[in-house]
Amino acid sequence: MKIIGSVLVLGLIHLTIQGQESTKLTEKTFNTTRIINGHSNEIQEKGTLEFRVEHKFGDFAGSNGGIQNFFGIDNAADIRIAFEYGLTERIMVGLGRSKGYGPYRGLLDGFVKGQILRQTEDNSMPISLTALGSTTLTYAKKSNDPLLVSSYPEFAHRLAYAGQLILSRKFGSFGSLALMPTYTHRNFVRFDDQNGLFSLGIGARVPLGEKFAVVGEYYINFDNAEFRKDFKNSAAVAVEWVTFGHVFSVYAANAGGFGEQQFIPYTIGDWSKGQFRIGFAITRRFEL
Amino acid sequence: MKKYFFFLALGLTMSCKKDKTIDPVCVDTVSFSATVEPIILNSCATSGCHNASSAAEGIVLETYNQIYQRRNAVLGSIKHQSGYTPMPLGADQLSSEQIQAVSCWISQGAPNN
Repeated sequence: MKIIGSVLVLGLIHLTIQGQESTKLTEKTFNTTRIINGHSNEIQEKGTLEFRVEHKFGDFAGSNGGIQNFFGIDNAADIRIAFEYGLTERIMVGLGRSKGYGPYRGLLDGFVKGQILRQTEDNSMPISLTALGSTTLTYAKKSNDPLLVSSYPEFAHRLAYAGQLILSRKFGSFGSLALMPTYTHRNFVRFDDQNGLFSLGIGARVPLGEKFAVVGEYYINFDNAEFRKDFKNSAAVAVEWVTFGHVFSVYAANAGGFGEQQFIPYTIGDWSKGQFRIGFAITRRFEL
Repeated sequence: MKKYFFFLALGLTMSCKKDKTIDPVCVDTVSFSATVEPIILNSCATSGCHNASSAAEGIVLETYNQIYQRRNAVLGSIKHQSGYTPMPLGADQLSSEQIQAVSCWISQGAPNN
């Protein structure tokens, strides 16, 4: 994880940064830095600071949803406030705060994302390869019950990590595809859970005319702990609308939290029971 | 600037742990000398098996250090988990209380107590 989280993101980028500058790069494989819950290959432009307010509401339907809480709007599951910055033409960083979902609550998150390979219009480079390393830190008050994950016996138990490769390709006007092999590591888990989780994310974007697109994202978890059988794979679908200021995306997802350390291991919502929630992000960009 | 972000990222990823909460059935501390050691000596470190003179498969389980170093393999074997040779070889599986005691001792950090 140490290597995946830091050296891979920053080191490999510098090793492979040469040689692609003269050809025209494929733009907007995905329209934003996120596919839906997870990251896309896109990064923030160099010198641009993005202020993000991300929302996820409560269950749309099922026993906790419906008209009584206006289809989850009255029960915000999580909100993330973040600043994300384009450090160079290939590297972006981000810092955020969210409520958290599952046993890790009161979360600070940080990530580094870098483009290793970039798809070109002439197909001399047919794919884009991007690496992501992220960390979350919970500052929630610790519980006195040693049976709970939130007892955090050591400071390091408050940390969780994710390392991800984002392999993507844009197929012209037909749309874009992405594969995201991911490793998530939580330093402290329940006695019958597993600390490390391998998963594979699949993302797709299909344009519907000039202004609209449908986006889908699914993460398959490869776990074998008995306890984890109660959790679901994260699945989300979004509609994108290109507006004057930016791309507005409204999605429905069964995951509750933000960040790989949250939506990959702690998704419990079952789509078939109406346990999905509406979410969107409001963003503003500033040139520094 | 890049240098600072590199060290920040490196620092945040330096504290990798693989810890778990206590198993609820393991709230009481399991003693190595009173509980775990007798189970291993009577069921594993026997003649023809894992005592010092026999050292089957090169494995000896007589001292705390020897047991500690192979604790996870011992647990996998006595629980008959896939990937491990079921132990004790050719004999009945240990009782569920004995297996639970070894499991709890490991989840409590496998102390030499």
